Amino acid sequence: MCDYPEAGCYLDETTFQRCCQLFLQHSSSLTDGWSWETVKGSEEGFMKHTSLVCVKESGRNRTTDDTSSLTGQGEEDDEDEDDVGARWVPEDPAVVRYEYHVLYSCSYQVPVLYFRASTLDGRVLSLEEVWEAVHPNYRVKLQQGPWDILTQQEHPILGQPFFMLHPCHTEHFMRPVLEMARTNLRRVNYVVTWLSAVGPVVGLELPLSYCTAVSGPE
Amino acid sequence: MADDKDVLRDVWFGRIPTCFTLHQDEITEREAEPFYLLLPRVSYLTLVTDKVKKHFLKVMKPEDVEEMWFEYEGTPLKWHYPIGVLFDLHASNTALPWSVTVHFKNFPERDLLHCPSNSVIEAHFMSSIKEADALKHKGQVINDMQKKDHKQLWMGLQNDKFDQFWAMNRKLMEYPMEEGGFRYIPFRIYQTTSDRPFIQKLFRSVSSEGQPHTLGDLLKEMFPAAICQDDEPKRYQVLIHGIEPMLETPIQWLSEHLSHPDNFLHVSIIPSPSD
Repeated sequence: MCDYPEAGCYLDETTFQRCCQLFLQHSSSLTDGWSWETVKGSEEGFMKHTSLVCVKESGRNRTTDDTSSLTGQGEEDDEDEDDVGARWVPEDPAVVRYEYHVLYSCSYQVPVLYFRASTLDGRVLSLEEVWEAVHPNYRVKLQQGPWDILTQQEHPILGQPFFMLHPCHTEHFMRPVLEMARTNLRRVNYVVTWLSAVGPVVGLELPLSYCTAVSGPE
Repeated sequence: MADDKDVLRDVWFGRIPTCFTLHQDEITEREAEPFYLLLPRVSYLTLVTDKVKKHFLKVMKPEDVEEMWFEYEGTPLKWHYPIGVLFDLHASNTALPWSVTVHFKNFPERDLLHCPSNSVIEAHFMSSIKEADALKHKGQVINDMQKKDHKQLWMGLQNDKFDQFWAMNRKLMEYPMEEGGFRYIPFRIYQTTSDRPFIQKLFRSVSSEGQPHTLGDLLKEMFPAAICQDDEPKRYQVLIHGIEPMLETPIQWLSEHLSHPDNFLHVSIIPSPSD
């Protein structure tokens, strides 16, 4: 059983890694793409997942309107019409590559979700663009205190800009889950429970089987 | 102690003479004069360089201006590191003034965080203080403070007001007498030769036998290569605020007196100068 200190419901790094190993075993059986990234010269590491998301850009609509207008103007001339059509066929919807990392924070003693998003040609999405992809249920909350919850941060292992869901409230929402599990003598996989709660904020949904198939470490 | 307050002031008012030069590829309407400035060690580049920006904008067209960023000898400078850390890490054994190149194009997305406004700096600063307090007091002191107290910490830093800042920050530097120090010491160890940006782990202020830990103890555990044996030539300098404290210095005292305003002890390890 995970024995949590009475003062709070914290996770030590060893237990974090064991939770991740169990998580990854299930991911392997689903072949849904999570992996463990090791850190050279260290026992630390983090979980990683990459997904491609089709996004409709707001600018696309204006392009479509322009196309209709031009096509309309070219109605009388067959040759022009063909030419206009060829020039203004809209491209496929934009594809955004999301890279998620699950790291352990020794300061807060909880997992932390880092991610970055870029187009396939390598352009990095801004915070505003990332917000547009945030689940609408969370967006109002984010708008109220945007910098406190979702910020651009240096990845503590890679040293590159990532977005981070701030971990300072994790203990507060994990505590009731852990206390209930303890009362019912059930083992909880902290990482599964935590990621099920925070992942959807930034478009990361776990299949339900993670909650039923992945146990907590003994 | 009165002597210790002198140390706090000397740290707070640390200055670095800096020469800002516009990058040669930037398009200007006339020649851009370099801009000289004394930079505060404990603040952040993007917080104290409004004058620099205004200076160079005078010779540039608006359409040629994007987000301003800084570079030293090809290395983009991370604005979210305290200025003193950037200097100690990249330029401490070079001639003064510090030569910083200013860019308004080709922002290096893979190296630097964006900094669209002072609100972002404030958020980063408060986030660091909260993390430091999570280590020192499980976050209890910073969470018990009111919003206006947080604001006072930020305004003290932004306006370079030592007394305003320390009226509030002293609470974050207290600890129960019986415990002999903070729960864990907030520190980061930087070195340019590593793949990782910094080393940050849990480290207590006293040993299990109750002995105060020293800077030497911290390095022995985190980066033993920095400690040379008596017969070896010195390979590394260990810099905090531009000075090399004795390795016997108690780590708790360093955390109270040589931390940056974000409450972290930022330690730079650089190769010893060869000359």
